[in-house]
Amino acid sequence: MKSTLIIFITLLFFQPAWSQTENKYQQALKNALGIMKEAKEGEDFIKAANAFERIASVEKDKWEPLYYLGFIKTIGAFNAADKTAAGEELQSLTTRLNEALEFTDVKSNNKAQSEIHALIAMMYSARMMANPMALGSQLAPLNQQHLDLAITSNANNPRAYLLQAQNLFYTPEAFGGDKKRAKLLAQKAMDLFNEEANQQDSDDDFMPTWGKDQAENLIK
Amino acid sequence: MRILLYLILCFSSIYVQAQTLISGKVTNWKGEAMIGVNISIAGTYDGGSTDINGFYSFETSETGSVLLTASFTGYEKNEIMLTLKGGKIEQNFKLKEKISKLKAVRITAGAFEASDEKQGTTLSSLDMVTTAGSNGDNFSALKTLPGAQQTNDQEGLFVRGGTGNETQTFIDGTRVRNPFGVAIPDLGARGRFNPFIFKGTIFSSGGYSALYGQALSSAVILSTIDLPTRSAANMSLSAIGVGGGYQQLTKDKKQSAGINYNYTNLGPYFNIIRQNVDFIQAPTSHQLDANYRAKIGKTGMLKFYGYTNNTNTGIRRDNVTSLDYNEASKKYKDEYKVRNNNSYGNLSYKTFLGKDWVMQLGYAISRNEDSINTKILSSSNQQIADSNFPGNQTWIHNQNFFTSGKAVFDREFYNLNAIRFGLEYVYQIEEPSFSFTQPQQFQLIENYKALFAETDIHLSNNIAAKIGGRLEHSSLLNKLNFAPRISAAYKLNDQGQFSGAYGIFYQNPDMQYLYFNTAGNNNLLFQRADHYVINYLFQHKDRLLRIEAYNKTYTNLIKTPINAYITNNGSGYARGIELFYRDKTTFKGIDYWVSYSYIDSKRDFLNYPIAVQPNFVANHVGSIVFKKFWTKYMFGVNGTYTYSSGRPYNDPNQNSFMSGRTIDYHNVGISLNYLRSISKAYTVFVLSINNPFNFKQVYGFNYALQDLNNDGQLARSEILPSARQFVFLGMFMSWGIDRSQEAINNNL
Repeated sequence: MKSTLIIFITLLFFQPAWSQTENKYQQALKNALGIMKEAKEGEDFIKAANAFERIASVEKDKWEPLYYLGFIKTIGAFNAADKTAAGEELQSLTTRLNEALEFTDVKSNNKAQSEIHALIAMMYSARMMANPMALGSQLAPLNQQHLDLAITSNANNPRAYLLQAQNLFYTPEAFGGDKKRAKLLAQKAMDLFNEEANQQDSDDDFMPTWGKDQAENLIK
Repeated sequence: MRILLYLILCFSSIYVQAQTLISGKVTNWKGEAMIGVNISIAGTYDGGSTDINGFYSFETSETGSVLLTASFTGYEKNEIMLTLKGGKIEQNFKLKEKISKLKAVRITAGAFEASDEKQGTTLSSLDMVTTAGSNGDNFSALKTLPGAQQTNDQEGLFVRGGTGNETQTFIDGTRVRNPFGVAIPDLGARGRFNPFIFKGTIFSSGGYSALYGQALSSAVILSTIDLPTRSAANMSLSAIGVGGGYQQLTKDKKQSAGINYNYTNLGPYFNIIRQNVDFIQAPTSHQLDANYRAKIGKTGMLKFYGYTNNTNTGIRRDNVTSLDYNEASKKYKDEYKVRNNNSYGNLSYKTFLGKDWVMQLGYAISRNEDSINTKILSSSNQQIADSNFPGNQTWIHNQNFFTSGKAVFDREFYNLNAIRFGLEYVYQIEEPSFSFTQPQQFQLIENYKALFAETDIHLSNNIAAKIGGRLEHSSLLNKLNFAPRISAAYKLNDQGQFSGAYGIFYQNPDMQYLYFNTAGNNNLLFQRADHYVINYLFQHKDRLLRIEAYNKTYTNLIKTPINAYITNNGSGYARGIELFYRDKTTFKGIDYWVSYSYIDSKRDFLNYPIAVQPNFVANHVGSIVFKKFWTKYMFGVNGTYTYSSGRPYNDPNQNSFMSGRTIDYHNVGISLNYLRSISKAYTVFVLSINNPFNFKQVYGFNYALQDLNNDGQLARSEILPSARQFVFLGMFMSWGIDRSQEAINNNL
C-alpha cells in the first residue's frame, strides 16, 4: 500500500515534469521566435540568435533551434560589413546543420530535411558574397546540390523553389541565368506558399514559413 | 507519507520562489564593451545577450551551483561557477580573442600566393591565366610580380639576382626536373604545364619554408585541382593548334578521370607572319595528358596527373663568328635542330591520420630526352669546308631520368600551433653525350636525401613565427648540409603588418659541372645563399600595398677558370626593394596591379674575371597589369605593360668586362576575350597581341669568337625575340563544365 502510494506520488511528480520539459522547450522556442519576428535592428537579431543558440546547446537532438540560428546568421551574412568573417561563421553552422540531418527527429521527417537542405543551400550563396570571384566556382555547385536535395526530400517546399528562382534571376543569361524561368519558379513557390498558409496546423508550429514576400518581389 | 508530501511541496516552492537576477558587463581584452555576447547558464535555456554598451541581465529560477558562460564567435569561451540562491548577482566578463585562421597574422615575407581556397591571398588562380601577354604560360604571369626579371631570352625564372636554374618548381610537393619546354638558345622557353590544372600557386622570391630545398633563389609551389564539379568535354582551335579532351566525374562524385590531347604547330602562323629567325622546322608538338582523382575514405584525396610530349623544332640564323669575315660569300648560317621527348607523372595522396595528424605523400617520375643537331652551313645551305670552323657539325643527346618521393606529416595543436616534418628522396640519372669527332658518354647518378621539420608558433592573433630546418645529403657531392629557416610576422592593426624571414639555402652545382667533379676531383660543395627579407603589407578594402626589402649573399658559387679545375670560389650579392600595389575598387570594374623592383647585384662566378652585375639582371623592372570585364556584353580586356632597364652585356672589344648596357625593354600585351554560348557549349574567343606598339627589344649581343678579318674588332649580332610581335587568335569550347562562370565571377 505504502509502496504503491509512493509510486503513484512519484508518477504524479514526474509525469508533469516530462510534459513540462516538452512545454519548456516549446515555450523557449516560441519566445525566441517572438524575439526574431519582432526584431528591428542588428542587436535584436543577435538576441534572438543567442536565444536559439542557448536552446540548441541543451537540446542536442532538436533541429529547430539550429535551423533558426542558422537562418538568422545567414540573413545577417548577406548584409554583413565583414562578409569574410560572417562566411567563416556560416561554415561551422553548415557543419552543424549537416549533423542535424542525422537526428532521429529529422530522419523520419522529410519536410524538416528539405528545410535544412534549403537553408544549407542559402548559406552557400551567402558565403559566396565574401569573394564571388574566388568562391563562386567552388560553392555554386554545392548550393545547387543542396537545392536539389531539398526538392527531392519535399517537392512541395516553397523555399526550395524560391531559392532556385533567385539563383536564376540574379545570374546573367549567358551563364545559365533565365529570368523567365525564374518567374515561373517564383510563381510555383507562390502557389506552394499559399497552400502552406492554409495547411498550418499545430504539429507544424515551428516549421519555417518565411519567403512569401521574396517570391512576390520576383514575380513583380 | 506526510513528510514526503511536505518535502515535495517544499521542493517545488523553492523551485518557484528562488529567482536570481544576474547582470554584468562584458568587455574585450582592451576593455571595450562587446555587443551580442551570449551569456548562459550551462545546461539550461536561461541567459541573455549583451547590449550595445556591453551590459546584460536576466533572471533565472535555477538554484545551487551553476556554470555561467559567456561566448562570442571568434573569442575564447569564458566560464565561471556561481552559487544561486535568489537575489542579485553581478558578474563581469573579459573575453580574449581566439587565435583563428581568419584573424591570425600570416607570414608574407618573400611570398606571393595565388589561391582560391585561402582567404586574403594576393592573387586568385584565375589571375594566373588571365594576365595579358602571358599567353597561358604561368611562369610568364609570375614575371609581372616583383622580384622576377624579364629575361625572356633564357630558360627559367630569374629572381632577385639569381639564374634561371636557381628557381625550382614543385607540384603537389615534389620537385620537377624539367618544368620548361624546349629551349632554343637565345629564344627562351615556355612553361610545360597547362595553368588550368592548378588551383594554387605560391611564388616565393626568398625566405621560403624548410619543406623546399635545392633552390638558391626562388620556389614556385603549385598545387593541382581536386575533383571537377561536373563531367565535361572541351575543344580548342587556335592559330597555332587544336586540342580536345574529356573529363568524367562518377555519379557518386568521388572519382574522376580525364584525358586531353593537344597538337601545336606554329608553321601556318610563321608562313603568314615573318620571324626574325628562319624556322626550318616550326615548333610542332603532340601532348597527351591524363588525370585521375579520387576521394578515399572520409578525408583521403588521391591524385594522379601525367603527360607525354613530343616536340620538334629547328632554326637557321646568322653565324656570328662568320660575320667577322669581310667577304659576303663567307657569311655562314648556324642550323639548330632539336627533338624533345618528355614524360611526367605525379601521384599524390593526402589524408588525415586520426583527428590531428595530416599525412601528405607525393611521388613524381619524369624522363626527358633532347636530341640536338647543330651545323654550320654556307649561305646556300651547303656544308662548309673552312679551317676556321673545324667541328662544324655536332650531335648532342641529353637524357635525364628523375624520380622524387616526399612525405610530410603535419600535426596541428590548439591555437593554430603546428609541427610539420618529413623526408624527401630524389633519384636522378643524367646522361649527356656529345660527338664532335668521337662519341663521349657520361653518366651521373644522384641520390639526394633530405629531412626537414618546422613549427608554427602563434602567440596571439598578432604574433606568429615559423622555425624550421632542413638537412640534405647529396651523393654526387658526398656532402651534408643543414639549412635553418626562420620567419615571423607581427600585425600592427587590422590593415597593416610586418613580416621578416631569414634562411640559408643550398643547391647543388648544375649537373654540367659535376661531370668533371667525378673525374678525380671530388671536392665541389653545395652552393649557398643567405636570405634576409623584411616585408610590410597593408590591406584595406580591396586595396593592397606590399613593400619588401631584401639582402642576399651568395657563397660557394661555381667558378670555371680557363685551363683550371672548377671551384666553389664564386660569390655574389643581391639587395633591393620591391613594391606591389593592387587595387580593385578605385576605378569601378577595373582591377589592376603595379609592381616595381629595384635591384643592386654583383656576382663573381663562372668565367667572370671580376665581380660585376650579371647579364641577366636589370636594375629597374616594373609592370602594370589591368583587367576589365563588361558583364553586360560578356566582353573583357586585359592589358599588361612591362618595363625593364637595360641589361649588361659583355663586349669583348672593350677592355672592361660586362660594361655594355642594352636599350631599355618595353612590352605591351593586350588580350580581348569574348564569351558566349554556342549550341550549349560555353565558348571563349581570345585575341591577344604581344607588343602591338612594335617596341624594339634587344636582350644582348652575341660576339664573334675569332677576329677573322684581323681588324681588331669582333663582329656582333643582336639577341632578339623570334618576332617583334605575336598575335594569337583562339576559340575554346567546353560542354558541361562552365569555365566562363569563373571568368564572370572574377569581375563581379
